[in-house]
Amino acid sequence: MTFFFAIGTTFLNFALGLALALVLGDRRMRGQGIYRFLLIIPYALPGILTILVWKGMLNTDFGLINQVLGVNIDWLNDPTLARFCVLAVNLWMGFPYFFLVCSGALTAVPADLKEAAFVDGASGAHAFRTVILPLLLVATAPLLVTTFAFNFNNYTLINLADRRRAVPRQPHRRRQHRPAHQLHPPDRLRHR
Amino acid sequence: MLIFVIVGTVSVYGFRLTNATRGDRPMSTQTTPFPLDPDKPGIDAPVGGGPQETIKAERMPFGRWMRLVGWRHVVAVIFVIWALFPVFYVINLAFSGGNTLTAACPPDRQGFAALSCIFPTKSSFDNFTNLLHSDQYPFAIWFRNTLAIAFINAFAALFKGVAAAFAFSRLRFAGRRLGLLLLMLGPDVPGRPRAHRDLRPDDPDPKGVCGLRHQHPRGLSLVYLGGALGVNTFLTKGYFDTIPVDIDESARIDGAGHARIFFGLIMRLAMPILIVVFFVSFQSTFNELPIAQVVLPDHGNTTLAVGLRSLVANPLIQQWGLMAAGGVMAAVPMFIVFLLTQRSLVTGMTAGAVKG
Repeated sequence: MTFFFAIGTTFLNFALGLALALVLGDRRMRGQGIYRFLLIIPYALPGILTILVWKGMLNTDFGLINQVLGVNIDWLNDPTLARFCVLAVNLWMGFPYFFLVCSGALTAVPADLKEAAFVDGASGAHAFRTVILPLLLVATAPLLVTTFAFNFNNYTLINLADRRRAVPRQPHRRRQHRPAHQLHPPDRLRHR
Repeated sequence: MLIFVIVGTVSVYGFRLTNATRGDRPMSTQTTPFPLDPDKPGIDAPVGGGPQETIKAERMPFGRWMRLVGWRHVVAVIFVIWALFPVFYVINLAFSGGNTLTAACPPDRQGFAALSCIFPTKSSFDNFTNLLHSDQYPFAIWFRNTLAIAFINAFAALFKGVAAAFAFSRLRFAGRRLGLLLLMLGPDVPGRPRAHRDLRPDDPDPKGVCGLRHQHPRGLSLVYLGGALGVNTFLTKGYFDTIPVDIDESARIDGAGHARIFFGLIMRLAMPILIVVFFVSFQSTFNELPIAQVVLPDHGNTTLAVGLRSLVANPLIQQWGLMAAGGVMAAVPMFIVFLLTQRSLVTGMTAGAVKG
């Protein structure tokens, strides 16, 4: 489970970050600086704060998400939903990092290589797949490994979905003593 | 408040920023093979007119502009909203003056009406003053502990990682490759078991080690110093490898020793990666929860992460307002550090990784 979470979240974050870097990296676009600044704000905030805020927003009775959707879903206690939420929250927290890294790495890809690919008749997607992506992966592979290792141990985030009982479980109440021959076998086992 | 103004401006003017104004070029603009820039005269501009006609480019029709550039703005605005609404929400919650989630968003607002909850309605400082004057939750102590630990740890991790990276990059010694490999494997040990193994805070030994026994923040920073060596060293070594060895050699011929080369040359040339290492260490220490929970479990004297969590950890007494206020205050130093280091972050991260 940990393994799949770490793989999945790394991939998702990387994919979204890369996609945004590609979309916003166009030189015809104005206001890139503003967009970049606003998009990396989640990365600049302390993670512990944002995790707790998400926990509040996903609250069953008073959370913002349920209010907006007009439903009453117990997001964090259902195992499937909780996994989905953890992935989504981590995507929110993690994509700015890869957005930063990918947009930096994209500018580092030499322009003449791209040009050569286009001259040789490659379409945009083809040039991206065969020229830009490998160069990008070379640049970001160590960061991907690092992110994977970090998320493998991401205790802070999983705390989001920890199931704390509203009423602490009562300590096992001691039965009244009965002679051993009146007990059923399981009870006898329990009393040993 | 400033952020609201910025976002409002962006969401309203997001579409109009494009052709109307010529802002300064962001640094990531790279020449593309097909310069279809509508503002640039030259290729598309009509040839043969007077000098003023060649300067003035024709305005793109809206459909074409939308297809080429506009959709990017749409995507960007959507993601900016997605990235920022929790931020607005927590700011609203902090200034709402109430201590519950319903203070920020009354339950009678449902559906799309609830979306308006992210905009602040009140500006009450009750949560802030309550938190700062609370005897039960000594926010000032948390703040001091976290800042001290984070700064000490960031500087120490920086120095440690850089020194190790210098050795791995410049010196040749037996076990170099194996050492690098082990460094990479080191951080994969999960934190919480590691803390238990190293510290045993419930150890009945009365002497303890460096205040660990007494659950002192000093002990926590000592624990942090043991970790986070691997990634830093790896990134820094990658960056050092891109600095030509010729520089070292010429300095050595001029009579410089290892220390001189290290402090005088390499550390100055490698400034971007140093900033990356500093920021990453600062951030990870700032947010670290599992080890801090083990070493400083008592919320009278703990770090921000443990303290903030303790405000909402008990399902029966969840003080969301206090948590939001504390979180907003905690975000300030982090944000300042980020703004100061932001410029070098991108260059440092990618450049260090290239040869990793």
